[in-house]
Amino acid sequence: MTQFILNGLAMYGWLAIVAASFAILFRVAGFFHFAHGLAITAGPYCLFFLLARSVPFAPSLILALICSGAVGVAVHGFVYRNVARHGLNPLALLLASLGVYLIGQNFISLFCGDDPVTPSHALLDGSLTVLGGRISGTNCICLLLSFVVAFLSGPVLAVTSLGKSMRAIAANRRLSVELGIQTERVMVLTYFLASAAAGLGGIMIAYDTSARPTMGIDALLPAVVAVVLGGNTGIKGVLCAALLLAMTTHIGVMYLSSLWQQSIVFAVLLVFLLFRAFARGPQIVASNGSS
Amino acid sequence: MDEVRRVTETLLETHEVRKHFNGTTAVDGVSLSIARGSIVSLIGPNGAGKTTLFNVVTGFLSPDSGRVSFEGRDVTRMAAFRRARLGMGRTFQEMRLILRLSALENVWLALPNQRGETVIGALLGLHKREEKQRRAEALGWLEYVGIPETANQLAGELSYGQQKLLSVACCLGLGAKLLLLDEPVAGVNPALVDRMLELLERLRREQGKTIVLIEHNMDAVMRISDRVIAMDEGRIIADGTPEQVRADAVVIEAYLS
Amino acid sequence: MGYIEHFAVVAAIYSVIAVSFNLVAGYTGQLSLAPAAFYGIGAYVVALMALRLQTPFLLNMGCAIVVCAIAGALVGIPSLRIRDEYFVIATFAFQVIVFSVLNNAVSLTGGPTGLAGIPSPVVLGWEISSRLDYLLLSGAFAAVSFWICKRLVQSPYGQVLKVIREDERYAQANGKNVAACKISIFTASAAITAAAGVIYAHYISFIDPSSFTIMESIFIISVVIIGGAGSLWGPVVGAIVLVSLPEILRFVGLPSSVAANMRQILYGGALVACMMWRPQGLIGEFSFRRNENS
Repeated sequence: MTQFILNGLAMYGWLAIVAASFAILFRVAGFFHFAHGLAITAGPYCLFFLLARSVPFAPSLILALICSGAVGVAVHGFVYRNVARHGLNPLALLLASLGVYLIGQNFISLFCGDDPVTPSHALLDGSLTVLGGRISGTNCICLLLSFVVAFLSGPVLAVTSLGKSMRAIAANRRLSVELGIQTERVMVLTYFLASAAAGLGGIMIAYDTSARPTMGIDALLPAVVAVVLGGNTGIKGVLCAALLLAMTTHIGVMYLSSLWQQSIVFAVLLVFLLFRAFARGPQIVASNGSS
Repeated sequence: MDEVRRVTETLLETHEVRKHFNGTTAVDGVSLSIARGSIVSLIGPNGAGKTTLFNVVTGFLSPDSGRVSFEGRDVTRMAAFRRARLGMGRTFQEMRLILRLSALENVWLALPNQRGETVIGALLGLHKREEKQRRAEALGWLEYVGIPETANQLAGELSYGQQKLLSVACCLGLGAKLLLLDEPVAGVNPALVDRMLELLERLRREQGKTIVLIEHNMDAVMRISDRVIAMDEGRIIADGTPEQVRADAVVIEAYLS
Repeated sequence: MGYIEHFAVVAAIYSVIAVSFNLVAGYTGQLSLAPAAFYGIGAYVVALMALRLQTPFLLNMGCAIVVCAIAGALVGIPSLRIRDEYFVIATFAFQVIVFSVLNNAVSLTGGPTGLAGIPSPVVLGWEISSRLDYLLLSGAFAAVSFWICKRLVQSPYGQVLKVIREDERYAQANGKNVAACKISIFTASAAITAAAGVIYAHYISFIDPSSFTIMESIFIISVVIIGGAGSLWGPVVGAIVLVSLPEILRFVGLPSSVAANMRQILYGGALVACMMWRPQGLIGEFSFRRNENS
């Protein structure tokens, strides 16, 4: 039992970061940015590329995060801005993001191969034994990092002017433009920071298991679920949902084979969506956009 | 005709209807009954809960508490489309027509009990036999509201006033006994206001329709209504003949303050 | 010659899927990410029955269609209350779960190794074995599904579907049973998609879960959107264009390991380009890029 909980915590480490960054983009940009998966994949591939050319770890890590951030900004600048030229439509943007993801994943697999890439050595050797369960040093570092990011992101969003502008745009884009917020600058910064965070999440996954071309979508799926479960309760809600999801997945695996991990995640999502939708009476839902 | 019975019989009744939205009370215990064949106006400042009341009556919102009955039948839990089939027609404040369809097709769409409105019916082509008759029926309603010339124009190409008339034609096509019109003459030029008011009176006279309208144009309200109900902050603050309500101190205060 | 026939069969199969998917996505405006799941269910039901029970083809096909129709109705239920991108996510969940069952329920579906040796179907004494036979069969299916789609959308029922797409509340105000329409169109669409799965399973004679992934769903969506969602011929045009697009790669002479990736890149690129410059598709009129009114 303890082991399963510890495994769940290890998953929470990266899921929290990926889900939080995805949630911020969802709120600010207003649609499901599936190409976020590319930023997740770009991080570790870039890192391993640099490490293999014997660049020291610290600069490699920084460059890898910048690379991930750049991926997000590029997708926003070259694709989404063009799609959203005639007004923001979540479905059109979602479709475009799926297309972008498809292109990106296949380019990675073309140039880096489909085989999993594993780091040459662990971040931290050894492991910790907690109440009869083992958690690796790498996982501990990831979890710690994840807590730091999670705890910092709250105050950063609340206090800094960037955070305030982001919340203003999330609440009402048109009004923010009129209030003189430089929407475009804030969007680019948001894409950069969120994508860099996703790259960090990807690197954690790579150190935990391995990096694969499909890791982006695999990691993004539970994050999407966490964002939907977290709903409108803000980043805290998403983080709680991520924890719940990580635990459900690994405790579910206790009873079912680990093959069913993904099914468990999505069954939880489906039950939640159906419950939320049918628990309340008929409500007016604006059929196009929010009104 | 037994004119007396028609005027006194209740068509629509609400009992203590309440509706909250995240902490604010939009409708706060509204009870009213609308007599068959009457023309009733709902007035009140923006946010008084008039449109919310319409939505509760037509089933687009379910009330937190209270009852709605139509022709003596409790419809509080009935789906919106079933209420429409029973004879509640409504128009929306923001124009809701299918702008990409022609005026005729918009009315045609509203006609009830069409064959070929199910998968099987459509596959069998049951609608083909009644096509001519349906077209004539839809055209008939366009003529009735006075815009037959627009039949083949797209709804999106009509003037604002014509669109308002078209949305009334759609209610008629639906076979509504009760027409709930949300701002039927707001923003329409004076000539069309007259046409609309004339149409509403004709509907009551010739078709025996009952009409409830939300309107801010006080001249129009005073001209056409048998009865005016004033609302403020989700409650009814005055109810009576146009003259009574116009003289009511509470109404004047709600409007002026 | 054989090559062109193969190409035509594949295009016909995708036309069937795209035409049926267009009914829900294009005409009713309910974007689902699960078309490949129905396609897969159809293929697996027919393959399992043919292999394990050795029942006749028409019975198998009937069962596949019924099973898919039920699954379609189940997926339609969330669309009553869950909207737009949340509905996309809900159907995504369905797609992932179906794939997971195909891939992991090894004792039932054979798991990742798939099902091999699916026999040639016999329709009323006619054994369908050559490519030409399959071309006739799939062509007939494509024609029938096109006819059904045409019949549905050019009726009062089809008119209601379009109104649901434009403005669901308005449809209700006009006394239309939106719930019944949505569920029935999901059911009909899934049933037709099942037929495509049936031909595919027999034609290729081997199926495995990798043909029914989320990527396949995205491909089907691309076919419909690039062709023109909400138009009769759009999905057919889309199927022909997208199935022939990667054939260009074959003439360039790329190695097969690269070709698989290049194909997906082409599809993704076509989808992105479409969303950027021609959201209504090649010959469509409706786009998912509706104007926002707030």
